Amino acid sequence: MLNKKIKNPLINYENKWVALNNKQDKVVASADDLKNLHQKISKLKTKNVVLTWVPPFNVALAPNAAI
Amino acid sequence: MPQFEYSYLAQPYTNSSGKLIQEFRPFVPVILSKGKLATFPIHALVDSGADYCLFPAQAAEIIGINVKTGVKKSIYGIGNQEVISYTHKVKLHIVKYSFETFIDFSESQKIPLLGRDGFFNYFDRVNFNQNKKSILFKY
Repeated sequence: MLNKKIKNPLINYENKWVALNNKQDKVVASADDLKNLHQKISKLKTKNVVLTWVPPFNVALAPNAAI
Repeated sequence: MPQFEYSYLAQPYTNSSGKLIQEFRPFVPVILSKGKLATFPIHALVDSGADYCLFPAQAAEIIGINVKTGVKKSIYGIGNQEVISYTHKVKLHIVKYSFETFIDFSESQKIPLLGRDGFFNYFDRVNFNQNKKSILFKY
C-alpha cells in the first residue's frame, strides 16, 4: 500500500496534466491532456500558473525516450 | 553576466521499497510562442542527455502550429524506443530571457525536454547542483 503521507500537491494527479498556482503548492486545475488543461485555464480568472505533467509514480525518469 | 536560479521540482515517486517519497527533478517553467500566440508556462525537464528539445505535439497546436508540416525526424532514446517528431522554429521564453530556437514536437512525448542543441547552447553556463537541488543559468 502506498504511503500517501508526503505533502506534495501532485499526489492525487498521477498521469495527469495539472496547473499549479504561483507558489506551486496548490493544483488549480487538471486534465488528461495539455490542450484541455490550456482551455480550462483560459477560462479561469487566475492566469498566474505553471503547467506540469505528473509522471507515473512507479517509474524513474530516463526521459530521452518517449515517456 | 545575467543569471537566474530554479529549485528542482518535487514529484511523488515510489522507491524500490514501495515507499512513496519525493523525487527532486530539474524542471523549469518555459513559455513557447509563435507570433501573437503563447502557451502558459510549462514545466520542462533540463536534460543534458538529450541532443535536442522535444515537446508534446499539443504544445505546438496551442500556438497555432500544424505539427506535421515540420521537418520529420526520428529520435531514439533509452531502450531504443523510436519517437517520430516534427521540427519547428518557435520562440522560447525563460524568466526575462527569450530566443528563437528549433523544437521537435511529438504526439508520443509527454515530458517536455530541453536539450543541448536548441536550449543549452543559448547559455554560457548551466550548473546543476544536486545537493542543493537547484539549477543555475548564466547567459
